Amino acid sequence: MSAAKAVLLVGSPRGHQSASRRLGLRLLQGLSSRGMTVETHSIYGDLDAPEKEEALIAAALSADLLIFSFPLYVDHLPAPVIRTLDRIASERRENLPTFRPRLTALVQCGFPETHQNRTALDIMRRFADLNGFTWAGGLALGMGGAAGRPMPEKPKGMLRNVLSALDQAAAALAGGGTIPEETSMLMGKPMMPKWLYFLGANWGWKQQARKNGKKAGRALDLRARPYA
Amino acid sequence: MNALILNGGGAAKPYRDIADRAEAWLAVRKIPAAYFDLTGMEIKPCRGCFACWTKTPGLCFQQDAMGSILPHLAKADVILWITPIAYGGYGFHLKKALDRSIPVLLPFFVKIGAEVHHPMRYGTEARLAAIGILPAADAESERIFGELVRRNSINMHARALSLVLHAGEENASWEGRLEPLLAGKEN
Ligand SMILES: Cc1cc2nc3c(=O)[nH]c(=O)nc-3n(C[C@H](O)[C@H](O)[C@H](O)COP(=O)(O)O)c2cc1C
Repeated sequence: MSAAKAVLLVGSPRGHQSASRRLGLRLLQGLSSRGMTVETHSIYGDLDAPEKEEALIAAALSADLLIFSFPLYVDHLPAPVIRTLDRIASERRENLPTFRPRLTALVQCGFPETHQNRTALDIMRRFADLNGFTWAGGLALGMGGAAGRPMPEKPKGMLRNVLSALDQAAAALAGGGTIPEETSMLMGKPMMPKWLYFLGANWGWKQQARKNGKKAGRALDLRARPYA
Repeated sequence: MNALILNGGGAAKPYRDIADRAEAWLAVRKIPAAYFDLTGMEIKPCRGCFACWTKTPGLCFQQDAMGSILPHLAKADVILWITPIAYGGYGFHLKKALDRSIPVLLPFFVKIGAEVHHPMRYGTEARLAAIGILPAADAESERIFGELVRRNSINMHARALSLVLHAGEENASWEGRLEPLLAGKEN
């Protein structure tokens, strides 16, 4: 029997800087070290290249374990991720699949509260149920801005819970199981006190604007109302 | 008052009919509405770069059809979304426009209740009605849809209601269910 295949679809436009990508790849690493064959595709990267999009859909349809990793956009999936789900749904309907692959999702958001991702996970689970996938559980975290950085090899520092949870999830998924509730809880634990993240974010936006203003040779009004 | 109608279902039945009737419902109340059929509009995906917050505040760097919607969104008091329901959420066409709507927010974090959100750039506190269409009753998808609209309403500092119509029901009179939308708003 050949090794079971896990396919990761990354749903962020931010390329290599993306937190979704880093987290997804870390999960994949755990699956591959446990004997699964792994493959990664970028939903946004393939938007302007039809042949790449076809390869992505083909890979998604051939997976034993399909993994979506994406940022929360307006309390929901980013639009191109919805389009990918639509494509997969229509392909599966046409080809009346007899096998039931497993599906999992990893969602992270910019606000500090993990629970803001719940609706997006519900949508992914509903997609799985309606399209003949077995829902293998999901992972979510808030403070996603803090996860978009290089990750240490072993769980430590701010990312210790996230990295431990990803390893636990990989063990469960590679063994054919679903992500345990405790693992999802661990994943969603705040990476730092909320007030610190809050201050850091507000400071970060102003810093960014100051830098951009300098480049442009003028101070930027962050509260500008161009359409007023 | 200004209204904005975003139709994510296009000219096909029942979407165009629902949009027409929503427009008529607003017209009777003398609320001018800007209307967009999103299915025919070239709206590129958001690139997640936050230039609209920290480089060109309030403006997206991408020049496409979204540029014609944003000025209306900035001043809308009443917003109507019409969309097929996909797995409990919005369909692709409505969502491609929502992803590109963040220029109307400010980057800063504020607290709303126990949660963190962004303030509105134009200070508008709109009323939102989301009309979702399903081929047949589906309790779980409808629950998720209602929850999604509720969550969006927090993010948008809006009062919101959601309305789910099953195939065929669009012919019945559903406008009355939009009535709470305008409660407390002056014409
Ligand atoms: C268009 C857009 C909409 C967003 N909507 C939300 C939201 O509703 N809630 C939230 O907490 N974060 C929201 N975010 C923030 C992203 O989820 C966050 O920055 C995430 O870490 C980005 O992940 P990535 O690096 O994989 O792209 C939004 C960002 C963008 C660009």
